Amino acid sequence: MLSDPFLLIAMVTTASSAVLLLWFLIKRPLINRTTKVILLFGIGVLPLATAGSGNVAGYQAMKTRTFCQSCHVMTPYGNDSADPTSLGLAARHGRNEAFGAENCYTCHADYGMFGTLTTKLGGLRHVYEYTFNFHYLTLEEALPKIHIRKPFPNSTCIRCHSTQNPYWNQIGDHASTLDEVRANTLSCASAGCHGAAHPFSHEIHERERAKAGVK
Amino acid sequence: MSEVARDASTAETAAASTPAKRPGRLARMLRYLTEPARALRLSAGLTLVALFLMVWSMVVPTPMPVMIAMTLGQGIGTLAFALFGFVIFIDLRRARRDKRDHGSFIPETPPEIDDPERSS
Repeated sequence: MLSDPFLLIAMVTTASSAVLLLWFLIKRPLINRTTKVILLFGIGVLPLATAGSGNVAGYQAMKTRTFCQSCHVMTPYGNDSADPTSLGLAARHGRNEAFGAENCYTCHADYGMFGTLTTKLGGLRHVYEYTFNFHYLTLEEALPKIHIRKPFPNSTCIRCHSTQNPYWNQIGDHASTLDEVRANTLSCASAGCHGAAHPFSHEIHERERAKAGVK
Repeated sequence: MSEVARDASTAETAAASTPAKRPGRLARMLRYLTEPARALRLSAGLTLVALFLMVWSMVVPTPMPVMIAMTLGQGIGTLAFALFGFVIFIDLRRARRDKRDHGSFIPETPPEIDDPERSS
């Protein structure tokens, strides 16, 4: 936990501020200029430093897989992407250090100038949905209801797999679908290509679709 | 009776016959809370609450603690700092008024704020 420098700074400033404030509340010193300067640090400077560094530490923590998994409905997704034996796209990329423990965020974040902002707003929507719609569901009830909001964009894949590598284009399927892949009309994660990022979720939705079809 | 004494007597009679307007409950509560020493203690207490919420979100980085810290925690912290700023502002204003009223008399150090609840 304390490997994060911002977390360490936040803890140190919190402790310092708490010491000053507790001294003021317990000792009840005369309120002269010295006391006011001490209180300026205890109420102003140090808590502001705590808030600033704590916000940065929190922002980093919210990108981790463990944070995403803290909502119970996401546990199977997190477990699958952390499973060293899983062949799903999420798991294979999770084993890559560039994704690692932040593989959920790395794939699902929006990019561009306002990407971080839209991703965080989306996160707020997740909290809303979980709090009001999914919190009381069991995993079996919740999983069929969880759908990605919009189709997974190929641009996320193309950030690393640029489609311009001659070796990539030597593969027949890549060469024949190049325009569609770049235009995002054919998903890299479609069934006939690289498959679902979370295969178990795809199976659950297929089962539900089959059930609905039978009814 | 001299004219001055008659005027004073008339004023006293007028004041006695007019009931003094008691400040409202909210005004009395605000005056109680913004009494400098008390306000500073309230500010210190609120800051401790805000710090606790921030630390909670850092130690347990799950959605609810993080959201509570970012909203309630930071709101309480801001309120505490505003209260502290208000006390300092009132104190500076009083010091400036004293300096203006007493002309060349400038205290070496600002007057200490009386804390009626502090035990001797």
